[in-house]
Amino acid sequence: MQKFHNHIVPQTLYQWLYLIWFMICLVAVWIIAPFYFNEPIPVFGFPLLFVWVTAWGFAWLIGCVFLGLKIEKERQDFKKITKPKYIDY
Amino acid sequence: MISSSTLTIIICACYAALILYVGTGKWTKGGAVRMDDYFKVGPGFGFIVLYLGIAGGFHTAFAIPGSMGFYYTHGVAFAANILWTVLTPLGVIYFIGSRITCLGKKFNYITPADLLGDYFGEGKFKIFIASYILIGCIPLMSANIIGPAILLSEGIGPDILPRWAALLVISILVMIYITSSGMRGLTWTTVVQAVWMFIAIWLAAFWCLSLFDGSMLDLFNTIKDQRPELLTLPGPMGNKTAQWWMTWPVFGIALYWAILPRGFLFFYSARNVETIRKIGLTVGFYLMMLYIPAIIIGFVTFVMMPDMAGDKSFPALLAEQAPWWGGFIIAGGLAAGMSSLDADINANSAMITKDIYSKYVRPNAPDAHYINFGKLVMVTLIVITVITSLRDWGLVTIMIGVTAGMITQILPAVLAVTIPTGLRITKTGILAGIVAGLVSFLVVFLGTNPSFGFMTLPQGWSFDASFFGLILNVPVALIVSRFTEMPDPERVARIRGALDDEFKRTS
Repeated sequence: MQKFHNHIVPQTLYQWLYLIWFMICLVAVWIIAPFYFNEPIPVFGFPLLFVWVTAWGFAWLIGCVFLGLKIEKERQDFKKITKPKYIDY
Repeated sequence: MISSSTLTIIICACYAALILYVGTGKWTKGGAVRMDDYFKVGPGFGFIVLYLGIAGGFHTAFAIPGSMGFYYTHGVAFAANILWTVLTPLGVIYFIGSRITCLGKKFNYITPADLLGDYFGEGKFKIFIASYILIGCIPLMSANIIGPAILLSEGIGPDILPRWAALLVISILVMIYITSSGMRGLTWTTVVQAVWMFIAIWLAAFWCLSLFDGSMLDLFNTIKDQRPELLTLPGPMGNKTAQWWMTWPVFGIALYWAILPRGFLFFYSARNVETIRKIGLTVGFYLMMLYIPAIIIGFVTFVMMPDMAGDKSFPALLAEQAPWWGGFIIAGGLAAGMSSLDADINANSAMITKDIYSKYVRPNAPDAHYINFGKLVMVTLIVITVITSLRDWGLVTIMIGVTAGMITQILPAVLAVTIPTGLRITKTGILAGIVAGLVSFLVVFLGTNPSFGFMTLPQGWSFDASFFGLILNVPVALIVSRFTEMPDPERVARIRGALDDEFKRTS
């Protein structure tokens, strides 16, 4: 009988950090933006809401690229340990 | 002196020649005559080609000219789109897309129904899924041809190139390269289109700013004087509320955009799981940065040409003020629409050929026969798209909304296959969830649409209709699954074994 493995729970520190950073940025853009940054204030000539969302969008991407590459390195290391002759389908 | 129309025609002709060259060249020939190397790319693309393929394929005519029209009409509310340009790659492509790639490579799937049918069972379920997705996707094709056709016709001049002729030109272009080389050809052309549209939209933004003859702050202050509602939610129409912001970009776009059939075909065409995960991490930069200049274009167009319909405003500005290189921007609009249109036609043709024709009409025929049949389907789909695009555009817009609602309903099924969680989810549960979600979505979407208008939401409710579909779908699917038969344990174990093998980190 194959042992069941739950795929939704992060398995490593970097996977947890990815999830946490993802959620922080999601809340900033999705929930906080329309309620707290919806004012006709110019920032570099752009509306405040637009600047807030774009800035958090970049932060979201940069953070997740950094953590995602760490996760990828972990994955490669794990494959080396457990499957020396790993075949990528 | 060469006229502006002639220059536009010359630049668009150069674009067309480049696309045909790239889409039919020797690099688009796979060597093997196999369905799994025509509708998808069996050996798989590497990072750069697939990155630009997905980037271009995910941005539709909604990017050019749609995004500027949205800023023109609803103001800063369009920034909600930045949410999906990041959420879809980092959430859906990175987590789910990589799993679709894993299973697609392992079990050689070609269509979305291959993946779902392999887990939940073949037969009627697979036919239902294929037909359901197909019906949902047809309006998208119309949307991706009509936007560029308006831009092309207005840019050259409707008296020289009427809209029907522009539709014909675009459809013939797509027909030539897509029937010539399938997924390979369309991905290579999308690489060129992605680069072209990116340069075009940024160029258009700088040109617009130069037309306004002022700084961004001057533009902001002018908008503030003329129509301050454009600078905040809920916008001039009063309907882009915080509730809309929290539902439309997520439930109406982000959660379904990557699980459209074209998304599956791109994921199946990755060289390996690592490729698609790296694309998931980085493609958001491209997707988001294509929308940043649109605010400048939309706002400058509003100041220069007020009181127009949003979707016609930027083409009208181009027609009136276009510089000698205005054709470059118009070709960028063609690139945005065509890069999605071709991917949709290929994916829909694959579903009709693989899931229906090869299964029920002509089983066990050689692959060359299926590929020829697939080409015939592509031509038929293009003809249907052109005919529907000549008709009432308002109806097409409604149908695109229906597409979002329909495709979002298959998300629980995709999650059940790709992310094992321990929840009990059955075929009957999934079907019940789809039906409940779709009915709930349609009642709200059509009921609150001005064309039908048989109901209103309670005072203060302005959630997007797509939200109502998924929140009913999931509980219904879970409840019905508790009392119905689980999928074949051997199939489930085989698929979960493949996912464990790739994604499990503990020995």
